Amino acid sequence: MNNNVKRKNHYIIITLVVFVICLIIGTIIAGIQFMQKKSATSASTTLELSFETVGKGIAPNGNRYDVKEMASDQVLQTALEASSLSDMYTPDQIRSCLVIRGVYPEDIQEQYTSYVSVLPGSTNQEVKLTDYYPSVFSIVLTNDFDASISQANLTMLLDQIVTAYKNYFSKAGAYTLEKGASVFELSDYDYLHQLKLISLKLNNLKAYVGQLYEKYPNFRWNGQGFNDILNRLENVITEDLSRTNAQTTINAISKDIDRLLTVYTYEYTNLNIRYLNKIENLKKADELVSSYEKNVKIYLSTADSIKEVTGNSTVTYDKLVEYQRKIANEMTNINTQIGDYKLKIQDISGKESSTESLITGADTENADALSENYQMEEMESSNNKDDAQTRISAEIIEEDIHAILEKHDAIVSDLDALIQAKNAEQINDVTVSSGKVKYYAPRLLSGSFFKQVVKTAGPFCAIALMICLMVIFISKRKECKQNED
Amino acid sequence: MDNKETRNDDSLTLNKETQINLVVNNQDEDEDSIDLVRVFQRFKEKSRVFVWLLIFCIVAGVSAALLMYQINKKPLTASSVVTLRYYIHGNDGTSVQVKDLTAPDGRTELDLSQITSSYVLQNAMSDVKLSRNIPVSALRDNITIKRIPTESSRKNQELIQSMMDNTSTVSAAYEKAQELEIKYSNQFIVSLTNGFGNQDENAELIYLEDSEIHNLLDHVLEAYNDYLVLTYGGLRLPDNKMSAIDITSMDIMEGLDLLKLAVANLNSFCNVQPAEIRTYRSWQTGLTLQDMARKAALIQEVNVDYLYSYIHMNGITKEPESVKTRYQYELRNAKLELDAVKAQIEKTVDVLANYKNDEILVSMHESDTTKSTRYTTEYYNELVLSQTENYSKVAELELTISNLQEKIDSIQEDVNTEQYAEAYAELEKAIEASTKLYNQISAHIEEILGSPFYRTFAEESVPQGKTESFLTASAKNMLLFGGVGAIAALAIWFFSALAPEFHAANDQSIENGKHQKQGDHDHAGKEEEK
Repeated sequence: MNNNVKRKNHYIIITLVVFVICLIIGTIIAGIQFMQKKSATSASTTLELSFETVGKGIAPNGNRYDVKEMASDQVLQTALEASSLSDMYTPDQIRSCLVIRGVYPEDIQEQYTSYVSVLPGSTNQEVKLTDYYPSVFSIVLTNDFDASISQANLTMLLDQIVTAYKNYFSKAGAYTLEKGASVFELSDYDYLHQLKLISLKLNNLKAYVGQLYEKYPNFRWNGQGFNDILNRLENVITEDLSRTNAQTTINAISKDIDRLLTVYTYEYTNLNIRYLNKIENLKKADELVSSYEKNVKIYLSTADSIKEVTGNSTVTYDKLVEYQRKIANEMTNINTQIGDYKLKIQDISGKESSTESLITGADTENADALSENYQMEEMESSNNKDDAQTRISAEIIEEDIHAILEKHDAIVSDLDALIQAKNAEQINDVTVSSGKVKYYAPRLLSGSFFKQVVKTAGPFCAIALMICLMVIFISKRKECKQNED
Repeated sequence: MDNKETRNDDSLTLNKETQINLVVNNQDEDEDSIDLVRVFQRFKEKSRVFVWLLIFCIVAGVSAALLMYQINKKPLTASSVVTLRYYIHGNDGTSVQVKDLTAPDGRTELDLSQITSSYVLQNAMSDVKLSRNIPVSALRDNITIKRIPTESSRKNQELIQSMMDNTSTVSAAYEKAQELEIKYSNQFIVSLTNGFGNQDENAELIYLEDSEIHNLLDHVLEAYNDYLVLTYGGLRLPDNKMSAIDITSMDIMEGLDLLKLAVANLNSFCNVQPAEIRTYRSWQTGLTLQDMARKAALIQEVNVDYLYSYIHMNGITKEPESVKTRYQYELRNAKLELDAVKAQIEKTVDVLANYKNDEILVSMHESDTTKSTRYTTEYYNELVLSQTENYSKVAELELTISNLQEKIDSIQEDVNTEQYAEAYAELEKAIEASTKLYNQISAHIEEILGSPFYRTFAEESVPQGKTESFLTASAKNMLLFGGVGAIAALAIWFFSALAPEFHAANDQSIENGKHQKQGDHDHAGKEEEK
């Protein structure tokens, strides 16, 4: 009995020794491999976006966003400066080590990776790929740009990058009002032009507010919504601006009335020349259209089918007519402008024009002579105007313009407050949120090393165990035979 | 005869003994039957060995499965879906988002092979740090691109496939297949597989980390996007012509002409952009390109045209003779061009008058009557349409000539210094306003070019695909091979317990055979003795 027990212990000890030796050898090999392939240290975090249109890839202000903007010069430079590392690294260095990846659900991953072309032909195969915009992203910053960077600096840098992106997004994803220096210096212009410039300002603003109202019809802040702003703008444009415009035009109020008359006369003459030119052009177009013969449509009928024989004469004819129509439309526009300038000239002269009607095709040949006549008449009449009355009117217009500008500023101020409130509602602390920054460095105690050990030492140990078992098996067999003998 | 009969009798005697032996043999057969008690006893005796054997076989099976995984490991294939999202000009002149693989120019098909072009791949690799260097050619070999047919094309393919499956419609299916034009949607899938071959065919494949594969594919697609923007992106500002206006050396009329052209260019640049670009509102300035186009139009009206009319009505110029000479030269050129166009028109009129169009003779079905008709050829139609262009050109040239004539007439010989100074100051202001607007537009375009709105011509998903972990991937094989090992061990155990029974039976029969031979031998001896 004792011998048997001793023999069993002997086998177990041998097996264990072989197993341990193999394990040690495998671990050493795994260790060498691990150290050789040692991956870079990294800091990682997650970023989550939460707003209404995140699933469409659209920022709250309707513009397209891309989380990869995090790797833009603007964001990286801000982050480097905030981390006090801007002297050591450049955005280009950091960019190549920053990996931003969206987190996709399993079903979308499945769609993207297991798409099979339908060319072999299989019915009811789902081939439509869904557009998916992830809302969760994993951000990893590796230390490839500087192997000696400390854990504190690496994690701080990633943290600052995420913070800089949050700030960037709060601006790039928000609504904003017109900023920056104005192109026009209002006081440099004549009253009519000043009114045009103000009209442009108000109409641009009206278009913007209209878009906002369409998107957020129910949004209200401090008792007013976008529709209130829209109404106020509408009032200023239709009432104040129109009235001032009418007064300025009808009363021919200008900083330099002679200059204005010169301009109108020039435009009037010029338009007349263009009108004559168009008339000639239209005559030619008419000739072309009338002389063009369209093809007869022929249907060839056979026993089986009916075939249509036609050229592209209809297309050509339509193009000719379109050309004719275009010239006619241009003529109408020019005629309208001629009429407008004619009235303006009449306003300046303060008396009825010698011509009763607008210049039409019949009297355009005398356009040049007509315009010269106008110029002379208006120059004379303008000299006779009451200067004092003009000055008073100019003062009134200036006051009106000033009042319109004040109203415009008040509206802009209220609109700005309203937009800020809307931005605050849409972009806040939870719109772009990030997780805790984690640091990862490959160590011999890390999970990846154990994984490597299992992968490398595992087969060694399995082979060793098998050898031991075979040895035990053979020994046992021998023993049995000896016993039988 | 007697002898013979005696022999027969002998044989009978022997037969009797044989019969007796057979009986004995039958008794032995009973002994051959397996004694289950003994078998189970042996099972029990060998159970310890069996446990070792079972462990051995299972370990061998599991190890084999793990080794198989290591040998046959499938490399990772990362895939990304690319969706084209640029706008092309539709037939009606409006811009529409691309719905197939039409290139951004709206005319040609998008060349997807450019994804694997050296330019794109080299750019991609320069942006990413890899643990091992891989040649561009190897990277190219591992990239696959799958186009996605549209729903209608897919249905047609399925229909043809079903027709091909049916023997009676095979020929019709082939005909239909030849006519079928496959259309693809605006999406395609790009895949990158790990395991890069070297130029040396015998060399081992180069494997990158899974994360590197994802990152590399990401960069390849980004580089392709850059290529698209660079190749097709037409959003470039016109040159800043305002900066070229040097009013100190130029005459005021020339300067104003240049300014007029520059502002008109700026306005037209804003207006010809697709609606999506025109309505993009800058988050930095709060303006759209549309707003700026309106400003450009206003500058044209309140600055340029206002000054233009003033200068030309009063003939304001610094060097009248020089300007007059220039305008006269332009006038002469315009007149020459006008003559040329008019001659062209006349010639075309002649050609059209003498041109013989096709005449088609149509014979009526089931009737003897025939009818002839004229049929305009494509060339004839082109000639007719070219006339409209010529007439437009004539109108334009006549207008230019008229303007130039007017300018020449208005130039005054005596320079009015006061008017000139006034106009000069005004021109300066106009240039200043135009430059401000140009800078605003420039900053706006820079923002658009740098924004995701414009930069991402093709929007790609993050590359998907992951390799299964070592244990998960081989779990099935481990179970299978372990099971096979266990069954093998059981079989060995079973046969090792059963085998001695057969051995025993064989030994017994041999012994019986020996005994029988011995018996026969003795019997023969006795007979001889008799």
